[in-house]
Amino acid sequence: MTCPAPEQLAAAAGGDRDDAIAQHAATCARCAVLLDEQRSTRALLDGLAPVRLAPSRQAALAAEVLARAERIVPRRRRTTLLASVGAAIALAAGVTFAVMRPGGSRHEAPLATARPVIGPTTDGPSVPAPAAPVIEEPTATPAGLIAQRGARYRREAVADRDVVTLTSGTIRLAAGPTTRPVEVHVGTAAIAVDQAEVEVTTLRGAIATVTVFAGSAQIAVGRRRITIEAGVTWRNPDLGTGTDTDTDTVTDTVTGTVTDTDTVTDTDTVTDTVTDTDTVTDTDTDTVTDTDTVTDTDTDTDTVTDTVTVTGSASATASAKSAEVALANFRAGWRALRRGMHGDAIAAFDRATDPVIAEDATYWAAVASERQGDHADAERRFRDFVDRFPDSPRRAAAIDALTR
Amino acid sequence: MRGTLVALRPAVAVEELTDAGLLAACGTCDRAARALLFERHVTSVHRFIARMRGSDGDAVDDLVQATFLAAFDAATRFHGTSARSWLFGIASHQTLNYARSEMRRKRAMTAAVEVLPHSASAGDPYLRARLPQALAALPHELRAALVLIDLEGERGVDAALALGVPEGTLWRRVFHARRALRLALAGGEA
Repeated sequence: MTCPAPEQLAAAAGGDRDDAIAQHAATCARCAVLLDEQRSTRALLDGLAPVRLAPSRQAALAAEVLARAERIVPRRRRTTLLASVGAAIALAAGVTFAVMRPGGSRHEAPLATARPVIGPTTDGPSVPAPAAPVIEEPTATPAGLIAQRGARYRREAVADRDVVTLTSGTIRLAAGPTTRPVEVHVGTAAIAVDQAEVEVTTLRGAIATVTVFAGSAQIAVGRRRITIEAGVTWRNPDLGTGTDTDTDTVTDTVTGTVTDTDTVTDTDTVTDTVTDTDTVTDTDTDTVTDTDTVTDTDTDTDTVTDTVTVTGSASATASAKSAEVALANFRAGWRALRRGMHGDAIAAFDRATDPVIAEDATYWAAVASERQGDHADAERRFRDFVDRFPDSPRRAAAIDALTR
Repeated sequence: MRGTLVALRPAVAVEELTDAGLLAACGTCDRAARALLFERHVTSVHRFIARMRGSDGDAVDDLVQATFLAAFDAATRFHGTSARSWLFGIASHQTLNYARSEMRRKRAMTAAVEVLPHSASAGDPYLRARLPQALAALPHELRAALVLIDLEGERGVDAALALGVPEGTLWRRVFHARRALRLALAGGEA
């Protein structure tokens, strides 16, 4: 055996016993010295005085951290001080938006609020909010906004909503039940975000993609109104090559183990082309599920292209996307549960199916069902939880709930 | 006349959350979830930062706070399963940024190639007393790798993920950190 690399020696001395390296060290004086040196230094570190955090100091730190975390919200609210300026800018933006659109002379209805997936349901029982909420949160706070480095945007509070004018880069917005809805303006297009978590990327001053992680968002491009649901990335077809045919066409190419559901509701009178291409090269047993819903009610030529490409042996991209969507849905469920909106919470938790959060989502969906008063459903859910997660630390609590 | 006793709605118990669930709840600005995340991991994070900063006590408190504030802000981007490793990664970045801002970054250590003096033993109290200073003198990336592996007992794969480097790079840093530490201690003896 040739002399092992430094990283192998370090790992061998760090607890990962390697018989081959040990045998080599028995015959190689240099490696024996290096290995011994690594081990003895490691042993020396065991003698370091322990670091302790006194309970009183921990409590003081906790209080300060939590207070500082809370103060972040008011700091972001400073933009609302520009309300008077913002109103003027928004008015100008609205006029510009109307003028710059094709057919801008026509009267257009104002951008409708996105159809909320997370929100009061009509089919479930009406559940009043708890009289004394566990956490008091201020009403109508600004929606959370995370901008990637280099993103250029301006944010103004206008009446009951925020207007974000995005010039370049990528931003991510999280608008919950207690935050103001947001309109994102990119060039001549706009995106309505209400009770949803959305990421918007730009290219050459126009929308490139809109990814919805939770809830739904409505995109207005020209006279088009496109509603994007959670888990879907919409790509601006105008940035690619145009397609124009005289018939409605849905093309779906699938290779590999893929469950693919495309629903296209099309009520226009001229031309539409929806192309969905999924290319999956997957040599293991992963299953990729891609659900696209495009609802289109305009009267002109549209091209909507949705492409999901997964390559490699472990479909890491699909897994990351799935985890991200599931975590966003869990957050939506958690917010709803906190507000006592149990039906919404259950719906959101049920969408959080990725293994990274499935245990929590399953448990809390059962709790929400119990609090909603649907005992039969709660029992089914707790039983399902106990069966699926026998090693969960919440198993005892679930069994306890079953005996109530 | 006695009134009817009505069971109050039980509070949402954040302690019944996994780390992934807890961070997701933190992503909704849930104060209780933030408090629990802090409580669960502050000891590890504090210890890690204290090892990284040596005796700089004021900086340790500031960095613990900065780490958790950054974690709350980035909670929606957590997609892993080990919150502890994730927090170590944030703490490592915060520590590095802090050192840079102070212009106190330590000079890079040249890799020692010769076999070093081997007089130090694990039981030597004199060496142990000088260890914190020698540890603090290591370059940031070597110190972070060493603290995570040898003091926090993280697995190589988790430590590599926390620091954003391949596992081989991590172990190479551990190797050089141990040698540099030994060199510093031996040099002090001479």
